[in-house]
Amino acid sequence: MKKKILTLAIVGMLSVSLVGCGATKTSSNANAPKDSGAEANIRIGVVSSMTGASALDGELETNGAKLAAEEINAAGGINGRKIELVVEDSRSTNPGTVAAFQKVAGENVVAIVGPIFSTNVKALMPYTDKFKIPVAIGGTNPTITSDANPWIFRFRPSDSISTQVMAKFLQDQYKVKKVAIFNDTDAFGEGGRQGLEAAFKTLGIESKAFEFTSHAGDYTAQLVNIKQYAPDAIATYIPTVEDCGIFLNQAKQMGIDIPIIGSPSLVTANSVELAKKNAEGIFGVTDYFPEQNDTAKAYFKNYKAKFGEDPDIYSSYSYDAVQVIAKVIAKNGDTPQKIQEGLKAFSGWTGAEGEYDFSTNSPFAGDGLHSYSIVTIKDGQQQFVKVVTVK
Amino acid sequence: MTIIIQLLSTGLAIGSIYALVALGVIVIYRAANVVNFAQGDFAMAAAFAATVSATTWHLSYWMAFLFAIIVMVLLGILFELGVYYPLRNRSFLPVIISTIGASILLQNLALAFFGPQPRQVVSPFKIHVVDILGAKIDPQYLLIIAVTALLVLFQFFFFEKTLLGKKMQATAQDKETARLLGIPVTLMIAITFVYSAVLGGAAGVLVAPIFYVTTGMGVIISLKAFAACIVGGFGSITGAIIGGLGIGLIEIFGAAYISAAYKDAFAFGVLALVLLFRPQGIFGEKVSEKA
Repeated sequence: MKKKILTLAIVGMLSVSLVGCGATKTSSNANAPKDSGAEANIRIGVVSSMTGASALDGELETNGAKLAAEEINAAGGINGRKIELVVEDSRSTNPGTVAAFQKVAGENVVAIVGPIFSTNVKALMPYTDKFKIPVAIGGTNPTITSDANPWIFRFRPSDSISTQVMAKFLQDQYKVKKVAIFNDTDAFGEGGRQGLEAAFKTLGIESKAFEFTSHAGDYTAQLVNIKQYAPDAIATYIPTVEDCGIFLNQAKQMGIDIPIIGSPSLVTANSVELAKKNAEGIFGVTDYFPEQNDTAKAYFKNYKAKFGEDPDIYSSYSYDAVQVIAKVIAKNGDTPQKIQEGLKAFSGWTGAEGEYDFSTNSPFAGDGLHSYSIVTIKDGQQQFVKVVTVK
Repeated sequence: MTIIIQLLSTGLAIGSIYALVALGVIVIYRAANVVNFAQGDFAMAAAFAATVSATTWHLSYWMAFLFAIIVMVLLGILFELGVYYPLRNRSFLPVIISTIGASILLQNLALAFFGPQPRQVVSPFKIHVVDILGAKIDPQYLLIIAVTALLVLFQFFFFEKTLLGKKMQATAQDKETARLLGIPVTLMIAITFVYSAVLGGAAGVLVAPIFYVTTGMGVIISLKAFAACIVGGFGSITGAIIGGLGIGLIEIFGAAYISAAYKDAFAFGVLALVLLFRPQGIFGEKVSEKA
């Protein structure tokens, strides 16, 4: 009898704790008085990784949305109504994202912002049709929009654009005829290679890929072959910072001094620190850079004033998303259906990430951005060069 | 010709790193009948010791190298006491698993203490490039080849010509008889582990200025080193050295002339071929067990 009671007690405690653990952390917040009557708040959901491996990135995402909501509310809200953010934790995992998405979608929100990681975005995409609420995401994997989901709107440029931007820049700036592509054989690198080869072909530039496997450590073989190929420039898709550093060092050592342009990792503070002098004068693409337009500059100032640190790509997209959604609600109405239709036709506003135009459906429906910033490294710091747009 | 020299210097340098790590594995194997899966992580540990001491105390490359070697001596002793000694009378599988555990522990300790950020070790050379017949060579590669050659010579001299070396060889050949002859077997094995840790550590500090210091750097070197051991003949010291250099050269010439994306495949392809057609390796002896 005693044993039975003990067993039941333990089973009971376990089930209660499991149920308790299952509940996601909710923190609704920012601005707001509870709705009552005609002046009801406009509720926008935010799905970000507040806990787990990407907790830092998730906090940045939420910050961007918060800043936008505050600015809009301070200016009188949307037609007098205030924005209320409903934040759900995705816990940095795919199942967590799906759970957070489903929870927030059931809380009377008219639109949802987030997440930023492509893998999380792809996880929640099968569930969007059930709720029919527009989702503003930050993932850059091209297949997110090529899947033709009518509820997904991308607030960062697709990776298919970064390769076109790199190619166009090389042609405009250096009139290249022949480019060597240096890429990792992983998904990111292969995607970059395919994009670059297609982009160069369209522009009539000859190209050849020289590949390596992640963390290969030594690129003498590839560099020897690149030297023999005698290109006018090198375009890189290297995911890790240390591979970027080693590549730049070894390239300079072997006397390669043609222009080098790379995916964002090449020009991050960390890889520049590793390569030191050998990173001077290289180029890279990035989707958020404070100097790239007026909204970006103002955003930099306001974000820093409110949160005490520099903003980056993790918060700029969510800031833009809330701003754009507010504009669409003001113009088209506040039901999810009307917001979706409004977003599909939205164009003409320049956010922190760049100029938005969803109406061209290019590269696919749901892609609103068509430009990247080119930055170069001078004296060990990123320096803005220009914005390149691809329509 | 320029290209050949370029590729040759890189191939010999990287091959030397594989050879040093492979040598460490074989030396332990001969003495204690243990395959040390944490050998590559010795390289990683030494590299971290070097970079941390260089940045914290502003040591020159050589002083940091010395510091790293001292750390490796201590690590070798700890390793022997913690990983090998408690299991020394068990069959060789539990010990191997113990070394795998040590490998995982070392990598994660490094991650916990030093974080995921790659670190630097500043090269000791003022000039960054040496021009040999048109080939532009990093002087660090030449240093690696030179130090490895010295270590191999030292190894040969030590083991063949000194009394301590001969005692260690005796222990490796037959523990029981060595014991009967009054050789302190446990001490010999401990010294072997320390020697092996120092070899692995030297490889790590030599390669650090080129590859940067990351917690995973030992893993890739380990794999190729094991392949080198098997290709050279598992258990043969000459085999480990020739195997290491051979794999380093095959990799780079294969990457340059056939396909860079399949660079790793060349090393393991050779391994597969050797296992198929000459499983005892180049210098190994055919071992058959009588019923």
